[in-house]
Amino acid sequence: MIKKFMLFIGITALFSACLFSFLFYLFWNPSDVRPDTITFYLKIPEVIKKVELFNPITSPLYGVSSSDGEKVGSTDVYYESKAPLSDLVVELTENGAKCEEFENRIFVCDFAWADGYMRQTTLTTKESSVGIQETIIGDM
Amino acid sequence: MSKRTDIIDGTMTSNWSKKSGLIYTCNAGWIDLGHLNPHNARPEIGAGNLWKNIIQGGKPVASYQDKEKDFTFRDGSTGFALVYRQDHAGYPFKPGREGKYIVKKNLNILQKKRVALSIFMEVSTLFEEFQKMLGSIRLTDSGFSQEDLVSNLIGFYIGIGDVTQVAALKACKPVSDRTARKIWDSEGAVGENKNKAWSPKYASNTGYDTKYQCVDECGSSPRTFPRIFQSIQPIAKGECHVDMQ
Repeated sequence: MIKKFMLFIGITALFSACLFSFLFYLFWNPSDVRPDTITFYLKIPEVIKKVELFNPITSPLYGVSSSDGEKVGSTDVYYESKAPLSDLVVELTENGAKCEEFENRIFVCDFAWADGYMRQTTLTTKESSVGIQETIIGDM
Repeated sequence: MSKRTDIIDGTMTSNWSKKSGLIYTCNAGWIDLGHLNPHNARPEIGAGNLWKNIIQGGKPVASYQDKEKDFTFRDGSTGFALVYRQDHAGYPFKPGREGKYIVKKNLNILQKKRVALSIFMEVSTLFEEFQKMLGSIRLTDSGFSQEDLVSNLIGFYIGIGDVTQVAALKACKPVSDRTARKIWDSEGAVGENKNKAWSPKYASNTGYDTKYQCVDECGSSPRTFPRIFQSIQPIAKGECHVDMQ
């Protein structure tokens, strides 16, 4: 009788731990994720993995932020590129983005909503490179 | 659920049109840019779609109700059906909260705005309560997180077209990421500091000392919630909208 009770307690505890771990995993929004990690395969949405990287000279770092009521979900990648800023702006514009220039040679380029997602690219001028942040907004 | 790493520099105007990131502002406290975005691909989600549905007249009530007689308000007016929802879209079964309403036809523009705000506030509060429940089992600290309702409210005014995101942020006077991080470190994470009100909760101290000077980016700000975000008053149920039974 005691053995059965202990078995029941053990199974219940194991089930609870598994359920809690699964829920925690669902609500976990990692950032600065490198592509060669398990987290990258498990948590980073495919939609950002498909975005082309322009001549990266640093390892891309990915992140995800889940939808939260009014807040639309987003996933992003940041890296530095050796491509010239002007070439990047031309490339993005030719692909349909509307780019706006701000202070310190920063460009914010918005793409229109397509297939439930919107893409925004921010180009930041660095000393000898361009910082590129790609953000995809949508349900995730 | 906002993290410290989400903080971006609010003094850079290039960040004012961003769709994600966390900014501290002198006049509206913490603002999450994700909540400011009123657009959503799903028609029953987002302040922009709520407003569009109210303007366009939603769907016939009969499409939701299997009743012979159409619903009529006290003055004999009929209405249209409207569903508004907030959820965790990325999770299985999209857990969240929604409201189903009948909105009176032929309202004037101000009445429409008041109805939209009432529905928006009700569903936002229901959703935050739902998140608070999830918080009780330590899954998220986002329920009534300090920036949630205020950011939602600003997003509502953007969604109905009364203000642009850039103009909204300008009115709130954003501070630098350095000041924002100092505030985060001294006051705690936004998720730890709850705010159930539709008005900002301000940091008790926005200043800090450097080696040479004392910096307070909010020193010359009134620290009052901009009037534009208080220009519409919600309306009680019964007169212009009711719950759909």
